[in-house]
Amino acid sequence: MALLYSNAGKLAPTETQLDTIANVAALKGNVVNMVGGAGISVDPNDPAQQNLPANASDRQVFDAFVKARGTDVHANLIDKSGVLWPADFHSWAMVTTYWNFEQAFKYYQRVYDTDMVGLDLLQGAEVLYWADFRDYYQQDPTQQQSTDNALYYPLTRQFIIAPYFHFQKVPVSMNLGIVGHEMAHRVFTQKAYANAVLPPIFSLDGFVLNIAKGFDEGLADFHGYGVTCVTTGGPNCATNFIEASFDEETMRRVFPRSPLPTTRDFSRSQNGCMSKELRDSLVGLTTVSFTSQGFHYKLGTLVASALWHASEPLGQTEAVQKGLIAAYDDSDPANPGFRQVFDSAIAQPGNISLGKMADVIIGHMPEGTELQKRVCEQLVDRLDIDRNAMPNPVPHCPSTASVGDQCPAVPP
Amino acid sequence: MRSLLVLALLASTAAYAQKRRGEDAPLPYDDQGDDDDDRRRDLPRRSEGDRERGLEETEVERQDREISLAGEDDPNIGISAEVILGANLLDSSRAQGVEPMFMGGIRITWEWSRTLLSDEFWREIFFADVSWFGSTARGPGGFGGTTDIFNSVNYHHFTLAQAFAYPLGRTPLSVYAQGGIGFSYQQSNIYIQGADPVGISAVRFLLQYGLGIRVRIHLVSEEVFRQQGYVGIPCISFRIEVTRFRRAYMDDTFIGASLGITF
Repeated sequence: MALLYSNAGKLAPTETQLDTIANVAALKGNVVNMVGGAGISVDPNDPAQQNLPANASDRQVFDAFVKARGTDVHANLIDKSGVLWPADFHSWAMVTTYWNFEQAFKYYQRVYDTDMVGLDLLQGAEVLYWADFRDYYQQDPTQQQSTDNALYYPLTRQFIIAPYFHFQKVPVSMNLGIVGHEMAHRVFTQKAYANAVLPPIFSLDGFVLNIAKGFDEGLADFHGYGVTCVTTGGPNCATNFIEASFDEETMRRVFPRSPLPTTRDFSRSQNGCMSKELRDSLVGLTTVSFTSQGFHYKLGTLVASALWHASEPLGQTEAVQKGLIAAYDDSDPANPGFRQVFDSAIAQPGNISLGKMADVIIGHMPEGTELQKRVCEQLVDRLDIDRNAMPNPVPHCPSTASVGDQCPAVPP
Repeated sequence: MRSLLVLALLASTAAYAQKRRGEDAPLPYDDQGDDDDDRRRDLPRRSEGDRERGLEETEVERQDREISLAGEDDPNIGISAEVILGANLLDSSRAQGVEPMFMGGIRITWEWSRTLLSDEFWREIFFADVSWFGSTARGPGGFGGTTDIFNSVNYHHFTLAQAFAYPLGRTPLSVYAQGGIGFSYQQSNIYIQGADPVGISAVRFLLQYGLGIRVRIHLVSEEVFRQQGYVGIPCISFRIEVTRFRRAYMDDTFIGASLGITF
């Protein structure tokens, strides 16, 4: 039993099956392994982190940040006529979390298509349930311990499920869309960052890294939405899946600088246009400042909005999803992927721009199709790519594409 | 004169003989020489020869002497009723160590060795408990869930346990170890977004083991008992204990105390 969505769109205890589980009480299986009681600390004053050599091994990085390895969870399960029922809240939550990861993996199995090597790499991550994640780079002491959040932490290659605290809705790991979103970050890290624990592009603080972060978030939202469509036990294709876990009133009170949950719904046309504030922040803010104010989510919403508005009317979201997987890493010099664009930006930061990132996506849509044309039109319009310079910023745009007119031009 | 000398020698012999029994024994007056009291002083402080004394006892007397009077000194029959209070450190499913919960219960104890055994030492050793421990957690909260989705759970442990106590000298204290078996009834409800709760319950085999200190304090003194002839003297019984429960693959720990009356 797990908490899944019913036909009425409500969560309810539902009989289901975990197809990849090996140890049901410890919630370990091929897709993920659940771990409890783990802790990670990101601390500028920690000597172990200060003294990490530039060529530190993955193991050294892991040991410097992981403060508690944690132990096996053991879900309290009751066998009733051959069906295992969770018998306390966290057992419900953990079983549902595993189910969510399994559904997310099924989604990526579909969109990875024939990339079996990539799928193998995607499996087997640890999920640090109810983890103690502390970030002492945060100035505000009340924000240093992570709560009400789920994240993929590339430095240790683990998923972190922080405790719920302020928000009293559906806990984040019980939200299928959020789990799909976090798994998309693992996909992005493995493919676009070549699975590096410290990707070289992280040294390009500011505009370049801000763009990378924004696209990472936007693609994660779009894949998260895709995961909500993959099963009947999900919320049935919800572009607003964030809202199931986060309410506006609490968001305003606890995270006043973060975008409100409703502004993350990329199906709403008012959420999908570039603003002067966002564009100025993208160019002018350091990445810590950019992300701490949630601008990477805002930029991401533009990307997700463009992809959704381009594909949904055609019923071709799966083609976009598959195209995105191909766009993460493509060594074809004529049609490079994000990984190759990032690599080139290391040598020449000017090689990266909103237009270049959009062009990577456009170049990996089915060539010459209506879908590719619409993706081009939407991205150029919503990201406010220089219309006057067309088609130079996005050379993979079909010649038949015209610039969309959903968004007003942003003043200089 | 000859007769006086013979008497003096006899007296000297008698005094010498007395010194061997007691250096400071008084010399007898002439008219007390063969007195019974004088002969009693020659008796050893304790009986020296069962064989010799046995010859003087009747069979009934011998049987009476072998009956333990420990039960006369402390005539409680050893039935207790106690209220249990403490902390149930529930095994954490999310691997956070333990989930502290309040636990209460009732325990009936029978110090059966007081009834079935007569030896003064062994009658204090054994007792058996029949217990109910109950614990409840109702969400929301860290353990129970959020306002939108939360769980309530009830644990009821029913056990039969045998204890081995070791009295600490003449004090009312004893330390004990015990083990037992029973069953645990768990009932759990999940509440989701205002809908009617969905419940599940189960009965599981339960293993109990633990350590503790037990105190029995008499409410009525022994003197009052002798004067007024109470048949049983009620005692206050008190325990401090650490008890562990193994239910399926979960290990819970109870740390608490119990207070009650022993008859």
